[in-house]
Amino acid sequence: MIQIQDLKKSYGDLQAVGGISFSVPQGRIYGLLGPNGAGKSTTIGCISGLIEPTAGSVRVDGHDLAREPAAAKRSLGVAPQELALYEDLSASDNLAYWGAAYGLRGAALKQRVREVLERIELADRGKEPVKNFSGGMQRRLNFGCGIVHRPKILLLDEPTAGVDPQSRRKLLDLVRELASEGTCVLYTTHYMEEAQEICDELGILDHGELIASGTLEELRGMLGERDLLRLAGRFDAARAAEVLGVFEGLELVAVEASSLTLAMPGASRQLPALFGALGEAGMEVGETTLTQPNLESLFIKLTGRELRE
Amino acid sequence: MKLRFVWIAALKDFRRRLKDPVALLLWLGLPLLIGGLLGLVIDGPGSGATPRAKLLLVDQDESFLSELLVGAGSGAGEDVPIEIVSVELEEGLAQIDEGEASGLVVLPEGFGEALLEGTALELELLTNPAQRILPKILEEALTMLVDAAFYLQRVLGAELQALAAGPPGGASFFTNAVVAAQAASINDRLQRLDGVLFPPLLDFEVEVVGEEEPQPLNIGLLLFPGMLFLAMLFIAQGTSGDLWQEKLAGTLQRNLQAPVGLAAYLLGKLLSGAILIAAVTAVGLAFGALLFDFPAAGLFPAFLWGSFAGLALLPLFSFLQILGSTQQAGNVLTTVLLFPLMMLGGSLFPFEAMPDWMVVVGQWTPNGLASARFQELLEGDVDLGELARSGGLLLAFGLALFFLTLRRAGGRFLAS
Repeated sequence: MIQIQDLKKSYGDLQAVGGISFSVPQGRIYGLLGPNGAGKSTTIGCISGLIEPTAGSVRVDGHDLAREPAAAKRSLGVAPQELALYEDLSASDNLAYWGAAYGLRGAALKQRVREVLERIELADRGKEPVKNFSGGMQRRLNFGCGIVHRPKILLLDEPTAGVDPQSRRKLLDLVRELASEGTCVLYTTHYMEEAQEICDELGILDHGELIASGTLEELRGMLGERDLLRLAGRFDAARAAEVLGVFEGLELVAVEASSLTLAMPGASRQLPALFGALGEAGMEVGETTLTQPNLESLFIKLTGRELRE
Repeated sequence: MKLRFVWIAALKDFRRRLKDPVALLLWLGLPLLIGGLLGLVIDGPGSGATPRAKLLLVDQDESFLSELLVGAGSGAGEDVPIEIVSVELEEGLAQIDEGEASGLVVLPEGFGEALLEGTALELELLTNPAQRILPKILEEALTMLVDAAFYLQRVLGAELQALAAGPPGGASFFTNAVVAAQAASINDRLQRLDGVLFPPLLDFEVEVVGEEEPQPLNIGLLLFPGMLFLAMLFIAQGTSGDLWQEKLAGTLQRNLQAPVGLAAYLLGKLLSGAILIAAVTAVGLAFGALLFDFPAAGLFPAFLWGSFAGLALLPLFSFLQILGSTQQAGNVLTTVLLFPLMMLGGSLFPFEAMPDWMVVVGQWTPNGLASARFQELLEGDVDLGELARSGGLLLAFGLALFFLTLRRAGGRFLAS
């Protein structure tokens, strides 16, 4: 349903997206995971036709976005990261307007507006101006405006950012429902737990580059069964590499004067030996963080940074 | 689908405007407010009596002739432009000080006698310095009165003297013989003047040199078109900020992600502005027709023209608004344009009151061009060729700015 091929977007010398490729089939949820500024929103902008790519191609439901923009856009639904609602209009008016913008009309439009209001649990507030809604309600309506015309492909750009836990749960359930009904979903987030929970496939984006891609299992496999160990204190890079080389399966991920990041199997069992080796080499450990293998640890392994940095 | 969406987008914007009824009422009420102010300032036809000069007369002579003058003046009807009121000197001076009268004349002791004997006498007229026109009327009227008294004395001096002196020998009444003699004498003098007075030997014929120019029907008609287009300028400027509002709310971007496209979206905005402009034109014309007695035949053509021509102002202000790098910069740009257009386009004062060079420039401004034709349509004195040319110019102007807005809105404005 979505096929992205070598997509690039530059603003002068700044490369926001640098040649990424991926595809998402019908009924699947593809997550683009990455820190703020990684290029997720730019990618969504290019796919939705809001931003003109510098190079590459985007095919949506079999239509090339550059050549057949109207046909491609008809299959797309978008819930942007920033709320995009007419605050002085009611929830019903907003849904009716966006439905009409995609060609719905008459009784079918009215029926669909009622259905969506039910689905996003705003049926009893449908006539109220949106400006009276809480942040979570506005988020749900923002999502509702993206699905009112029953799109085949749904682009969700951080749909749960700044949302209360209840609304977040509701939105995640809705996304899963839509995927089970056959909608193809492209979902961007910087919440690792969210991505792990709902995405069938993931791409990890950093500085505009897709640094890893695959199912959750495939990505975990990249990290192996190793734990991620982060130590804070006083370290020497050369000495650390020398003394830690004796530990089997240990990989030095990043070394700085005040921190040391390493991946190793069964790290909790090997901690006393590890501290002893570092201490004998004149290094001090002040704080220790042990993480089981997950997307966060994979991101740290791939970039040396935390996902939320 | 696109045409249908244009209508849907226009309705959406109109619904949004309805949610802010104060702004909507202000726009709709602008021509009413301006028209009302105009009415107050110029006191339009049928709305009040002709102003009258109030002349205070102090009779210190109390003679037959002075009382005759005071009595005749006090009994003058409403259609006479001078109202004469007999007062004491102190009261008269107080009224002049308070600005309640246009002038004060004192008929001094000996006024009647001097008039009858033809001796010199000085009359003093005190005028109200706060008034400009009415005291001039009094001055002119008194000059004529003095001239009339001089000729009356020359013609009928002896008879008037005899009447003023009263019945001879202390009698209460004139004898029939005296009355008959005086009447015969007056009749004799009038018969001798018959060839001069009836008809008068001198007559005036007024001839206007050069081509007579058609005069506007009334002052309201002169000022109203500019005022209506002033309201339209305000609407165009007020609604132009909407693109910035939609961009900041993210709805502009969301519209661009829909299949209908930017042109349909902008046309929707234009259509919503057109509805507003047509409503303001209709309300303004209805009010103007009531207040200034506009000819009925010109109202509908003027409505059509006003609704069409006002539309050209919308893309002008929208384009300027999105030329700014920020919303504030856009507002400054539109305000900078608004004032020269108001001044040159005949919205603050009519072309008739402008220097020639300003008229030449002003009639080429969009609002100036539009309001000139609007006035001609109201007067029922429009050159169809000129109307078509002006319509073509405004259409080309509006279309060019619409395409510039389209280009800018989908390009740098969106990316900024």
